[in-house]
Amino acid sequence: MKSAFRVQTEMTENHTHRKCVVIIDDDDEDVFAVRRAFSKSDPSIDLKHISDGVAAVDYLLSYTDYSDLPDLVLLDIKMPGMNGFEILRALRSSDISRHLPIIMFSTSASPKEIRQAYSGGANAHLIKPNSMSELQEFAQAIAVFWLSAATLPNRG
Amino acid sequence: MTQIAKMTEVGASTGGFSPCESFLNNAPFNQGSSYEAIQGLTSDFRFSIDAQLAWSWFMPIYPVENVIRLSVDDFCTSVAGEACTGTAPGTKQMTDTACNDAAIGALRAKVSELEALNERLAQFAYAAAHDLEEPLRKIRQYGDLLVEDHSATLNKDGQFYVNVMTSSAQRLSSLVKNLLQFASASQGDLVLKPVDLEKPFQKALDDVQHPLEEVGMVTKMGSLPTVQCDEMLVQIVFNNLVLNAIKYRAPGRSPEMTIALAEDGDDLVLSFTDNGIGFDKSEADRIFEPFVRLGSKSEAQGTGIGLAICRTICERHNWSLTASGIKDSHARFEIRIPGANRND
Repeated sequence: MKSAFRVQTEMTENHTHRKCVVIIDDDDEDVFAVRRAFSKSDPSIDLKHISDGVAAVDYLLSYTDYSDLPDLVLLDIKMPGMNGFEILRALRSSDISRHLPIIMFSTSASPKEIRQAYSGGANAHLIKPNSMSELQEFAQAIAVFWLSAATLPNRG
Repeated sequence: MTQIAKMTEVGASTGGFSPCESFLNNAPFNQGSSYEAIQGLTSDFRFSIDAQLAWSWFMPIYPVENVIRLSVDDFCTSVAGEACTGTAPGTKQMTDTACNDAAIGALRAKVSELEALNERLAQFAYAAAHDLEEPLRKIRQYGDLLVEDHSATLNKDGQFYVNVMTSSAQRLSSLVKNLLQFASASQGDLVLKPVDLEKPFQKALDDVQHPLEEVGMVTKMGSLPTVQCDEMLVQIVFNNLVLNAIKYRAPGRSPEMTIALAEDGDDLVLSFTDNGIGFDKSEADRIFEPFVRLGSKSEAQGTGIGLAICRTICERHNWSLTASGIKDSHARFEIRIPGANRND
């Protein structure tokens, strides 16, 4: 059973053919820009936005089958309620989401937080870029590496 | 006491603002405080948080050591004075030893308070960066989107306006980054170990390889010594000195920079000489002040804080960094490392 929390998605769900990325970020304006960048790199990517940490954890832990899981999670750090590190810990301590690729996507360039992200089990840490062209490059890199080159746990 | 009065005003005005807003609203803050400011900081917790915000404005301008050193001197005089003269009438005056013990104990407490304060300050710097970065990022990204989506409907004026907005936001964002670099260069412990200076210098050159190649600058370097220093910070110094030479290169001359080592008694002197636009003798000290830019904005790109960062880092090592030069001929920066030439 999927949880009843509101999950914004622009496209219809279809996990078997479409790459699915979940972005957990309380900042709608940032997500708008990210959505733009992804839709330019690969319009077929299904980007779900969850703005609340607790809802995001509930949603991701409600999966019962690995193969249904999203391909990748983009996770902001500084959020009200449950912050990115707490979400990371929750996802890494559950059997269903332990292997889920998670990329921290944050303003923070603090070496301490970057170390904390990797040691908490994040697969990468990206600093939110300032210009649309850089954001576009990030989206392209993610699409090429994580959604195409890498073999992901839910596809294996 | 005027400092404390000012800080109280600062404290009173922070209600309803985020730390970052109040930080900006209250700047620039009078720079001369130390002991009085510290007294104010410790007298009351709420007040200390507010004063800390105000403090953070001049902290980067005065290296932490200076602030501590100043406050310790003042504090010694003050505590010793109080401890020795504050005895009740009729009792024998305290002995010198008791006097010193009281002063040393109180001093230790103050030092650990200052250390805690610096730690909180570093955390504040990151919080401020986050607060400032977010709106800046949106100005740039959404400016880009405006151009991308609506450039057809924007006339020439409109496009010019957006360009000015986004490039200003870009400049502001590098200012914030540099301010943070300055703040973090002024605090935290130095990681001292023997370092072959050629290593950080080579890394600094690698970092600026792109701008170096772009302007075709040639660097000439003799052999560099091994000295006791914080490698990361020294690399920042070299980096900024090279960037400075690139920034102030003379039009029409192929840019060069010569790094030389000289012995002067017990000291080693490292000099960085370029063949750029130089500067007037009267400006030799002013160029180390943050945000001083010689020449117009269009002549030189940058935030005007690089040399201030260099001087702060050198002073933290007890080195001196001085500038000399001739206008339209060259600029020369000298790092004097006291005692590095002593054989003991």
